[in-house]
Amino acid sequence: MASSVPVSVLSAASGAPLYARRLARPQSSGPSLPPPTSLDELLAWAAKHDDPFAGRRNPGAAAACIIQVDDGLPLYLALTAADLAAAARALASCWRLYGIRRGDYVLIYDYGTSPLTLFASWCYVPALRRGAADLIGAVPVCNDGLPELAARALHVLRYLRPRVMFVDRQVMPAFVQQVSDQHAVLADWVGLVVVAVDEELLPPEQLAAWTAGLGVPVRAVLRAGPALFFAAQCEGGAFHVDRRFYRVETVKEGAPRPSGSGAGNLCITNLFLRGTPAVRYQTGLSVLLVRGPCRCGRPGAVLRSPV
Amino acid sequence: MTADREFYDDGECRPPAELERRRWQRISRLLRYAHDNLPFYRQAFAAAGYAPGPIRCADEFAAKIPRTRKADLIAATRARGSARVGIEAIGRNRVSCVVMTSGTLGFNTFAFLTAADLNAGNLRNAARELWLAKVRPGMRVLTLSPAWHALALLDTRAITAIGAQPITPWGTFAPRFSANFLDAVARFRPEHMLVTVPALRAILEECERQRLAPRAIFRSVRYVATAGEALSPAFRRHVIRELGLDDLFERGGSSDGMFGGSECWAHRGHHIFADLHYIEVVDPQTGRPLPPGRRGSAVVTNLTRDRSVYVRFDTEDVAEIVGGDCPCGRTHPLVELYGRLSDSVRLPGRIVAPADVRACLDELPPLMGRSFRLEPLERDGVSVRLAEAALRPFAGAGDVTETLRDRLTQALQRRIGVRVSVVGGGDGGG
Ligand SMILES: [Zn+2]
Ligand SMILES: [Zn+2]
Repeated sequence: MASSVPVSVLSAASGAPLYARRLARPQSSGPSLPPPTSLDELLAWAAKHDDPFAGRRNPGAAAACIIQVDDGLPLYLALTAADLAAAARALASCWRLYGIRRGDYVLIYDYGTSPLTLFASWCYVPALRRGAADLIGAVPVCNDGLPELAARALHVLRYLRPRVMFVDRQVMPAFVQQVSDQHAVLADWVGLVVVAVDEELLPPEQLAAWTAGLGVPVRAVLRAGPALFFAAQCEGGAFHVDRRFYRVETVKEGAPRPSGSGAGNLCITNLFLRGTPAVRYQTGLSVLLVRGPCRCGRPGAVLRSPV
Repeated sequence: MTADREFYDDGECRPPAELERRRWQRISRLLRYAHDNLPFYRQAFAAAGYAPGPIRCADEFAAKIPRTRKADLIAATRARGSARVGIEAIGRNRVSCVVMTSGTLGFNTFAFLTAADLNAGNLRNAARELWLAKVRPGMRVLTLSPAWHALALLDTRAITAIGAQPITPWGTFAPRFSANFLDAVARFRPEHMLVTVPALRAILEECERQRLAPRAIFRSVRYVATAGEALSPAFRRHVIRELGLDDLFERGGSSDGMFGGSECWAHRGHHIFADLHYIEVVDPQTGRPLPPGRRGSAVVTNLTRDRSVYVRFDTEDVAEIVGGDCPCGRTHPLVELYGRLSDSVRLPGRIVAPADVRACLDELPPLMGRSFRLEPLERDGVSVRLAEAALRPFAGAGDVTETLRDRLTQALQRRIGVRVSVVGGGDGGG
C-alpha cells in the first residue's frame, strides 16, 4: 500500500502528533499509511490542541517560513527550504503543461501569499533559490488578488503580453466584466487563461463560456491548499497529477481503505513536504481517478469529473 | 550578527565626505551608462543638451540633468505600447520578475528586477531598513510582502537575511484580511509586524468588532513598522498605547523611483542610504535643490544598476531634508515625507501637506484617522474638507460638531500659520 510513498515521508510524518497516533506500527510487511484526514478533522484538531499546524508539524524539520493555507482557515504550513524548492518544481511541472517557455512573461492574478504566486519566483518567498519561473526561464508578474484590481490585470496584459495568465476563480467574474467593459481583444495580449480552482472542478460549460467570451482558451489549475497540491488541466480537460510530487487515491464511502483508481473523493499524499507533512489529506472533491495515458497522450494519472 | 549592534552593516556609518565623493563617482558612471545604453535617458539628455562628462556637485547635477516625472514614463509606456520604456539597466542579466510601481496618476508603470540587484543593493537596502525598525535575529515577524509591489517585495527576504522568521497570513493589505492577521498574531505570537497604515487601522477596528483587547492580543508584539503614509504624533502614541509596543517605526519612500528607508529609534525622519540612492529635495517650480529644512519635491537617483533605474526621478512627494547629525550614528541623510504634492496646497514660500492636517485631525479623538481633502482657499489660505462621515457621529448634536470644527480650525491655524477653513460635506479622499 505504501510502496510508492518514500520512507522519508513516513519518517517525517511519524514526528507529527496527528500521524504518530494513526501510523500503524511497523510490521514485517513494511510501514503502512495512516487513514485519510479531512479538512474538518484538521480544523477540529487545530481547535482542540490550539495548534495552527493541526498536529502535522514535524519538529525535526526547521521552517524557513510559515504560510497560511488559505483565506480564513486557521491552518498553517511550516515550510523547510527543501519543501519550498520542491513546491516550485511541482508548480513548474504545471507551467510546462500550459506551454510556458523560456522568455515568456506570466501574469498571476492572485494574492502574493497564494502558493500559485509564492512558488513562482525566488523573489517571492525567502529561502527559495529557484521558483517555477526560474526553473523554466520565464518572467512572472503578480497583480495581487482583489477583484477591484481587474483593470490593473488588463493593464499588465496590454503592456507585457504574457503567454499565460493565471486567475484565481474568485476574481474571474470581475476580470471577465472588465474585459467586456473595455472591449479588450484579449487574444492580442495573452495566449491562455488558467483559472485557479480550490478543491473544485469547473463544469466544462463554464470553461467553454469563458473561452467564447474572452476569445482565448481557458483552462484550469486544481489546488488543494492543505496538501500544497497543484494539478494542471490539459487540452483534453483532464487534470494531470505529477507522480514525482503527489500520490493520489480516491476514497469511496463505506470502503475500508482508499483506492488507487476509480471514482471517489480525492485523497492526496504530498511526497515532498517535510515541515508539515500532508499524508492522505482527504478533499471534499469528487473525482474519477484514471491510470494510464491520457487522451492528450501524456502518461500518468489524471483526474476527471466523475460524471 | 548580534542583535544589540546598532548597524546592519558598516556601510551605514561611513564618513559623509567619503559618501559624497563616491556618490559623484557613481553618478558620473551611471550617466555615461544611461547615455550609452538606455534610450529613454539618451533622448532626455539630448533634449536637455547634456553630453556625458563627470559631475562634481549637487548644483551641477541639478543644472545639467533633466528631471523625469511619472507622466514622462506613462507617455513612454503608451508610445511604445510596452512595459519596457528604455530605463531598464539589465545588461546581460536575466529578468527575475516584473513589478508595478504605484498607481498615482491612474497608471502603474513597470520595473524590471534581476537577481544581481535583488541579492545585492536592493536586499541590502531592505535589510538595513528592517534593522533600523528593530527586526532582529530570532524574531518571528508577521508580514505580507505583496509580490506586485516594487518595495514590499523584498521584505520576507530581508527578514530571512537578518536571521528572523517571516510568518505570512493569507491576503493583502486590504481591510477584509485583518481577521487573518489577528488570527496569525494570536497563534504565532510574533515579536514584530510589518504593515501599512490603513491595514493597521483596519486591524484595530477588527479588534473592536471582535471585542478583543488589543493589548492582550498583541502582547508578544514589541515593534511595528508601518508604510504607506506618514504617521501623525497622536496616532503614533495611540498605537503604541493600544498595542503596548516598545516602539513604532515609520517606513517611507516611493515605489515610483524604487527607494525607501525607515526611521531609526530617534524618529527624526527616514534614513535614505547614500551609497544606494541620492535624494534631492527641489523647488517644484524651478527644480533647484533646496537646503535642509525647506519643503519641496523629493527627487531620487538610484546609484546601482541591474534593474530599472531612475535618474533624477521626481516623485512629486512633499519632502524635506532634516539637518544635523542623527544620534543613532548613521551618516546617511534623513528625509521627512509629508504626502503627495498633488494632494497639497502650494502657497507663496511654503507647501501645506496632508501630513499637516492629519497631525491636527488625529489630536481630536473623534476625528482620528478620518479622511479629508486639502484645497486652496483663495490665494493665501487652505480649506480642509472633511468627509461627511467624519462629523456624522454628532448628527443631532450640532454644538459638539461646531466645537470640534472650531478646535480643529484653531489647531490647524497654529500649525500651518495661514488662514484655514474647515468644511464638512465632502467625500474626503485625503
Ligand atoms: Zn491530458
Ligand atoms: Zn538615525
